[in-house]
Amino acid sequence: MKHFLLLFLAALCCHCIQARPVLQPEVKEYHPIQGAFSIAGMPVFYQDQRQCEIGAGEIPGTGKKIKGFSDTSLKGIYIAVASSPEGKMLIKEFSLDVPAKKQGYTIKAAGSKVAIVGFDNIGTLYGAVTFRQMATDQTVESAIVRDYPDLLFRGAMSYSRGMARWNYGERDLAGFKAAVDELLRHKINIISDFKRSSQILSDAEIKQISEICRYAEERGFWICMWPSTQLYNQADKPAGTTLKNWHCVADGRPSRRVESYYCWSDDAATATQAEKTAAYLKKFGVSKLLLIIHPVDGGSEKDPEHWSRRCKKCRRKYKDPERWKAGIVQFNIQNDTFRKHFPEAVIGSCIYPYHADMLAVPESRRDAVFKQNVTEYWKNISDGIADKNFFFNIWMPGRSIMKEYREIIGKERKLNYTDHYCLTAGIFATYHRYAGSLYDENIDNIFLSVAQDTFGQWESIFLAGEHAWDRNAPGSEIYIGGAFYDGLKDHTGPAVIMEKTLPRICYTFWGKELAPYMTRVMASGIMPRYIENPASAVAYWNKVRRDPMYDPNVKKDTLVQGSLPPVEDSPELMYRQVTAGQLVCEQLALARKHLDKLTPYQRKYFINFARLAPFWLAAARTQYNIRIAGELIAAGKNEAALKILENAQRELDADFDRAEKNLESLRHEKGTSSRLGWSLDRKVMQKQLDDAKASARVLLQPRRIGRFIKVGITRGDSAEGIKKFLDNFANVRTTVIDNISLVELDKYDCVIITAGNYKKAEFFQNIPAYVRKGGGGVILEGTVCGHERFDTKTPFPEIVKTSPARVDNFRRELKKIDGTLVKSMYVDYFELVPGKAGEVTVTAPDGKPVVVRGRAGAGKVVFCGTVNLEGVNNTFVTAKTELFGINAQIVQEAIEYFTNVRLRKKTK
Amino acid sequence: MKKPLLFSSIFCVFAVFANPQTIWEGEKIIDKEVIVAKQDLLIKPGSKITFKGKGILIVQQGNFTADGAEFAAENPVENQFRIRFSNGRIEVKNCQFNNMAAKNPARFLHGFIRIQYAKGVISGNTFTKSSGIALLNSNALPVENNQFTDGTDGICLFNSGEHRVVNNSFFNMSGSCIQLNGSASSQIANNRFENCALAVLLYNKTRNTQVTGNSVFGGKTGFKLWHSGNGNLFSANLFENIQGAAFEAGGRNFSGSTIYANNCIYNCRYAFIIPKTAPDAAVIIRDNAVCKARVGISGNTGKIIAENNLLWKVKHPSSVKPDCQLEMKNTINADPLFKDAANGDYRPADNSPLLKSGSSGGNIGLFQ
Repeated sequence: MKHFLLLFLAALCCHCIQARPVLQPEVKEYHPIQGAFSIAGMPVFYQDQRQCEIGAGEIPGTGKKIKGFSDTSLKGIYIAVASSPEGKMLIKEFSLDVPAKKQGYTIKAAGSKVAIVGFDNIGTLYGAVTFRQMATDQTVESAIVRDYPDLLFRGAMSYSRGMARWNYGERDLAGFKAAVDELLRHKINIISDFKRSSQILSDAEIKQISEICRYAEERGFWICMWPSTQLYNQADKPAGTTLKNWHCVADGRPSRRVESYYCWSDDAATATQAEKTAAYLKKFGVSKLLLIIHPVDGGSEKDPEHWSRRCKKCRRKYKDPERWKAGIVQFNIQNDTFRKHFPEAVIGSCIYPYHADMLAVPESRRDAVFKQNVTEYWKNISDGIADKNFFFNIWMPGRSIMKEYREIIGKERKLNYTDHYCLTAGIFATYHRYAGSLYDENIDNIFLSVAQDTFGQWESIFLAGEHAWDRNAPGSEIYIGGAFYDGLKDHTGPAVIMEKTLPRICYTFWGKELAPYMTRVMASGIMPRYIENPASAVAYWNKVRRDPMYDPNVKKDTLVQGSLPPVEDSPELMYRQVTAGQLVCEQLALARKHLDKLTPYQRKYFINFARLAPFWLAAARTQYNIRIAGELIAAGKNEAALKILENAQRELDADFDRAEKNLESLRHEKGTSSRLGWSLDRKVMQKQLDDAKASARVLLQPRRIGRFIKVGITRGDSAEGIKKFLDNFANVRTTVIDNISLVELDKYDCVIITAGNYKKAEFFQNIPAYVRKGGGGVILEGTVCGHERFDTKTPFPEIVKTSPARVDNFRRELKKIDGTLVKSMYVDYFELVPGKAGEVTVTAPDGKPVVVRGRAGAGKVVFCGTVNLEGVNNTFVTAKTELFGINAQIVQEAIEYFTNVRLRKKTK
Repeated sequence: MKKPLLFSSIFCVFAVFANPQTIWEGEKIIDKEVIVAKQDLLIKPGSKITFKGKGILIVQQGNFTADGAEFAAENPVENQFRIRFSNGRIEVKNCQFNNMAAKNPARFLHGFIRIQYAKGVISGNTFTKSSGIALLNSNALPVENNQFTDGTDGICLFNSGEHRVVNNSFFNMSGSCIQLNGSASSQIANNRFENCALAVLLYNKTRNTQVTGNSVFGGKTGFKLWHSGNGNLFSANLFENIQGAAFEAGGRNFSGSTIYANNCIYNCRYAFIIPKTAPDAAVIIRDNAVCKARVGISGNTGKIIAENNLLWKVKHPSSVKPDCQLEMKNTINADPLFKDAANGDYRPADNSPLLKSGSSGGNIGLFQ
């Protein structure tokens, strides 16, 4: 009897769920009324107003669209804005209770009539797109809907890397407009990541972008742009200006041809640059701009915006503690200029430092410099900029930190808070559940998603829309500090999102038939970026899992999540990708018979998954097998490892055969990208497998140095400069290597492991084996010396235990053990903690160990805490310069230490 | 009551023998005979000592210390040494010697510096276009980590013993890099020779010398024994691309009892030339790997035991006259399967015949 009752209740629930339309984002109020009716052929009457007209067009499968109406006697769909006469009539005749909230609306569908009335123009349009979802099958369940957003600004999707990707291969106007429509229907209203003002655009591009902006603005969108406080960029800099010879602060990446030149003492140039930017934006004819002025990025709280490096003129104008004065002048100039040209624009800045989480530093550790550069700076800037609508852009902090931040900047200042620029490994992520965390009742705050999801992960962005629309949506959580994105959890949970919200998103985006399959695909936990580059993905996860501000004595918020333990990359982790890959492949194969109703763009998006998924599976399975074998090799069970690898070869052949055959079968279809990903290439995986097989067979023995010292340098930023330097020696042969398999390492007398990300298993198994058994010499550089950016452990704890800190060193001097100070190349170093067998050979000027060496088994190791890159103009901008100064000495002495062979310069 | 007496006795000894100190720093020119006698000479780091004309330096009955200094000469000096040191302790470290050459300074001694009746250490120095170091009547003086480039001779040990000559490197030397003359019980280990006329010469009754772990690349001759004595051991040495012989023995006193073991000889014209062995001597050639050679073992008279050697691509594995008794056993004629011989890696691959084929179950070649 009890079971029967449960079954009945379950059936009742199912009935209720079926009766209610799938709405995304979920509406705040939905009141069902008995009955349902068809809208097929029904006329749509709309107020003579642009958003009402667009709204009418959004409702498919109806009869005539009739502009203007004076009564509601006919069966039909009526659309109007509440403040208009038509709206007032609808309110009266349908007894509507329109929410008095911006972008709010109400819908009443009953008795073969529908009234859609918005509080404002955009609210009316949102009502129409909601009704579109209610009438998917042209049959409408009678109901009353009342709805409004908590946050008025919600987004965003990237224009150049999201919408353009969706439109890949065509770049036609129709594709971009379709993307805008799709975002509108999910109530996203920000498009970001437009072209930079330094990019030269053709007239055709300007025309197209203008049209897209116009189309989007009509649909309630804000166009987000990032002007800068720079005076010049690489395109408009004075002739002969370089990052090295600019008189004040400069920043940029020459390799990407991005250069920024700053100065706080030239207000005229600041105004000129603002005018230039405004003139550029005017070309697009936009008015609803979201402008975020970016100051100099860098220097942390110690030297924000590299203020200490400002020019003499700036120093005369502003004393050391007066950065805020300079900031106020620059922000006001830009704000006034932009306001003059774009009265509707929403303007603000990510005033530096832009991490409100800085306030997690306990009061006891906030010294005078911290206060001057952080708390007092924020307060002074906020006090000094009278326009309270000039918003501050911050990375989302925990709520209690936000309380203090508000106390500093005042209660009225508008905020734009963003996610933490998450580099998501999966295809769908749920951290957007925090989007409504910092809701302020009376302030039009902005939630701007800036993570990688904005590069075309539509389902994730729709989730962001849901949680920004309704801060209490199912699965919403308050962000309380710590890791904003957790790679281990945010692709498979929380359950409420995976089981309730995600099916809704897939239903409204993919359609009824495809939704079950795509829900399973999105919830599978597949992580292509982890499969493609596990070391990089895990390194990033660990970076965001730690909370450097964590202090259990002060902030309860950070105590709850605090510093999560680092993720240890493991065979099990990769095995989860194998099972997820199998599921994704199965579901996508089943889904392929339901593609007919997709738009061409959705179809491309689907095809991209269909093309890639079998390769994800193949690469994941190969890597899993290699990892298992690697563990066996490390345990000395080489025979068992070889058997695993023989089986892995069979699986690789079968998997890639299937993947390539599948790819061939889809060759006639378009995808959203042409790339497969380098590690998804059969050759790359085969090479890894071959290396693993060779490693299983390799016989490690101490070596005899031949006529030439063979030096392997792992490919990384500093490899070029190291190679240039070592190539000056007649008895050295250098090779840049792409992997650290045992068989590769064994080819070289010594290997320089440049700062970077490596597969943890290889790093911690192969390098010690190569040194201890194989007698090799290894230089470990920078982050791989035990710094948390890679791993706080080292493979040789007896020599160096860990590297607790990266330390700025703008004097660029390090001290040899005899006390002499020698020029170093870069503007920071990694402090090392030597183990019992570690011998310190170079220190910082204050004596902190920077280079430590020692013997390990048959080989030797040098931990080099200084990075072999040049800091251009004493900044963090790097140049791949040939080694000089102490960096050259360290590398030369290390190789001589390893080999007992003196390096001999080439004779000219 | 006795302790104060003992203490005061030691104090008196030091008080009597402690030398006054002469310190040189900055630039100093020596253009005539300069004698520092019964004084300690300290040459400070960064100093530059330039020899001109017939200028020589004589340091005697005192200590000689130089670290991080530079020595240079404008011209070679003839029939004498540039520097003579005797009766004291010498420590020369991390110095540079440029153009410090001496022509015919003595009949059997080659070098620009003569060190006699001395203790101390010579390490970390760079000798460029120089002759070398002559150690005379001195025992147990380590010569380590020095680099000799484009010179004539390197290190000459005369009537000296128990030296450690290790981790030195020699490049493009026209004479003998290391010469032992009437020397005993020294260790010549882990040195490197590139493009040198003669790497090591054991001369005139030199005995009980261990020559191990050295590497010889190119050049005319590897190791030569001439009138040498008994008990010398040559093991784990590498010879690559030698124009003549890796090992050449001969002279009036013949090659005494000598062991050649675990050497690797690759692409050399001759491997072992042992024309004469003394009637009562035993020459043992064991566990060596010889690849790409014209002749493996050559002998005229006496007895040679050759066992467990690998000879691969050797045109004439043995070439002996009727009076030479050559016992060859367990010779392997197979590709040694080095890991990467073309790039100087002579470690055996996992399936190499060198593994566990040695005379006592060990490996053939350089690696045990």
